[in-house]
Amino acid sequence: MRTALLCLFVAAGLRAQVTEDSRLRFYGSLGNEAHLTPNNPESPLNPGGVLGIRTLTNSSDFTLFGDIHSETKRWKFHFKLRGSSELNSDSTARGSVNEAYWNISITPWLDFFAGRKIEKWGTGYGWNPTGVVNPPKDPRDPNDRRDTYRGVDEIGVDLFLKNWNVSLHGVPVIRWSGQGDRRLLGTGWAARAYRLIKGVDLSLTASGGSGLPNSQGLSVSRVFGKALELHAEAAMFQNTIRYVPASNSFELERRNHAEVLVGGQYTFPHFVNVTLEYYHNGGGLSSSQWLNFERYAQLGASDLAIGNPATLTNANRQFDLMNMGRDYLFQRYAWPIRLNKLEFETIVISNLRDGSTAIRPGIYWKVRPNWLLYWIQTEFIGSPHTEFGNVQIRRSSDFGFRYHF
Amino acid sequence: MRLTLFTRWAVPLLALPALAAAPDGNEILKKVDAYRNPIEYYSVDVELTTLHREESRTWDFRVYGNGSDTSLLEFRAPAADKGKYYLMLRDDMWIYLPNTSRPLRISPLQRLAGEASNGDVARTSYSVDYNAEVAGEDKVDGREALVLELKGKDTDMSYSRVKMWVVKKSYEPIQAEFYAMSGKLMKRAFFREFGTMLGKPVVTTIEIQDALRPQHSTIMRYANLQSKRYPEKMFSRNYLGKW
Repeated sequence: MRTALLCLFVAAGLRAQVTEDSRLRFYGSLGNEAHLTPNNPESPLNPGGVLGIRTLTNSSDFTLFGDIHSETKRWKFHFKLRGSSELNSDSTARGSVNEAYWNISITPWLDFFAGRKIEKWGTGYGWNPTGVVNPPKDPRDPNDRRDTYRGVDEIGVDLFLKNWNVSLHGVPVIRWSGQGDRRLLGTGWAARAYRLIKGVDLSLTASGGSGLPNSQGLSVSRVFGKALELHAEAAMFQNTIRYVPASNSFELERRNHAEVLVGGQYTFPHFVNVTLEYYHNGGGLSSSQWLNFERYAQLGASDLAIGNPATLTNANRQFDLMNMGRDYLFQRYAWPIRLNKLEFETIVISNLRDGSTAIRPGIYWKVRPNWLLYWIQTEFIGSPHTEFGNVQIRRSSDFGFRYHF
Repeated sequence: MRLTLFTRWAVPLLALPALAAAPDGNEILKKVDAYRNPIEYYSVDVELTTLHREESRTWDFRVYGNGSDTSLLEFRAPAADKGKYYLMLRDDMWIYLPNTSRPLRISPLQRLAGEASNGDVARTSYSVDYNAEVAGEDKVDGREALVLELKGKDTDMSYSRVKMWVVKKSYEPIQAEFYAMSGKLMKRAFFREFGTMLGKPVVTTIEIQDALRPQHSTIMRYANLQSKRYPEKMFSRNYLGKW
């Protein structure tokens, strides 16, 4: 059904444009990563290594991007197909349509688009409070090195009026998978107005409906001089719902909260680039909620000792890394040892409440212009009472290669 | 009385051709710009090759121009860079990476490729950024040349001063030296080859040498200049990657 809909959609788009010459463009990458992930037996979520996480696993992926557009570029069909396989306790393989949308320029000031599309709103590097239509982002891998991002199904228009760009998105939340149960779960909307004002990128955003959070946001960025870029984002969310730890259980909490990000990047001589960001996530756990979580995890260990794994399983399920605190610091240092050839990068993310940290140095070697070899080492530093000290693995060593075509 | 009238009116009129024959530095600079980009709305293919000792790397771009200070670069090769775009609106710059689907604000110091700064490839007009004065005359490879002294219009430009040699008769650019605010020579550009595109004489090969690392150089080759006006929205930050 999904494939049929997609084909119909493509055919409709292309048929409308039969009079125009079309052009094809394909590109993508394939890669493989081996992961070394020893258990962290000191983690309250994995006491004594009870989870038995496999030490050596492997991931492979293949991503194909395609563009079909008219000679005049008046219309375009874009897709991103991804296939991946994971080899851990058992082997799994899956394929997905991560993007498939059609964009047509109706007038010089109006574009229409429909389909599954990856949008990235916001100016932050590690987090994007205003990115209500963005795919979930992992600050440890802000550039999505394995092309995992998947778009959202949407329909909308882009208006270019004077110096403003206004984007209006309608977002149906469709459950595609599930036997005979594909249906509309909700609908949401999102809007963004953007303008460049005296060198400042200014975006105002809003979203709502049953499929997206009710939010209002603002994002800005500006370059100062030759080397400094500063950016900020802020968003207010109303009626967000989250399971939060209470005494010996989890309960639904509905509340209003704010998220704020302030950051900048500076390029030093020899192209050494430093990015710093502070992120306040009002939707994260308060100190008392974190203490409740700790108690719940301890209870899980006690229950496990008497043969009941359910509590610990639930604690693991509710552990949402980098959402267990409210204030974080993000640092990124990129040093091109040899420009376009060999680069060293380190990302450091700290929970400012408990001081725990994830440090992720990596080295990237472009063996050939299209061949990349890399080694990324992630260390989690913190006591068992801290967020990063609760991570179920002690560290992650990722050895990978990627070929672009 | 007659002599007075003669000196008041006739002498300046007689001198006009001589004045016209020696335009000021800014006028010469506009003629130099015409060799890099003779039309306002265009697209042109750029092949950029970096040379470092025995090693070379090549990138292919298509540059879309919209006036003298707005341009868009489409990365076409190597495959690892396909789908990237780079937008320059006067002094504001963004790069769009397909795997993040997000235009990132970048600063002028963040380089495009090799020794070429973002502006070297994307910007084809010196007169937008610099004021020029004729500083003297010189001889380069046996050719009579004028020496232009270019001073940045803004204080925070990557190169605050440029010294440029142009052919005295045709104002064809020969070479240029780019200096930092400190007065340090940062790089040299040599306008190696010229050709005809759309019936106009244009520079087709520019070599950029790093003055601080002499073994590093970059060659930019231009081809397939087309005269076309693209929609304004194409040069908008939020339209990057959408067409």
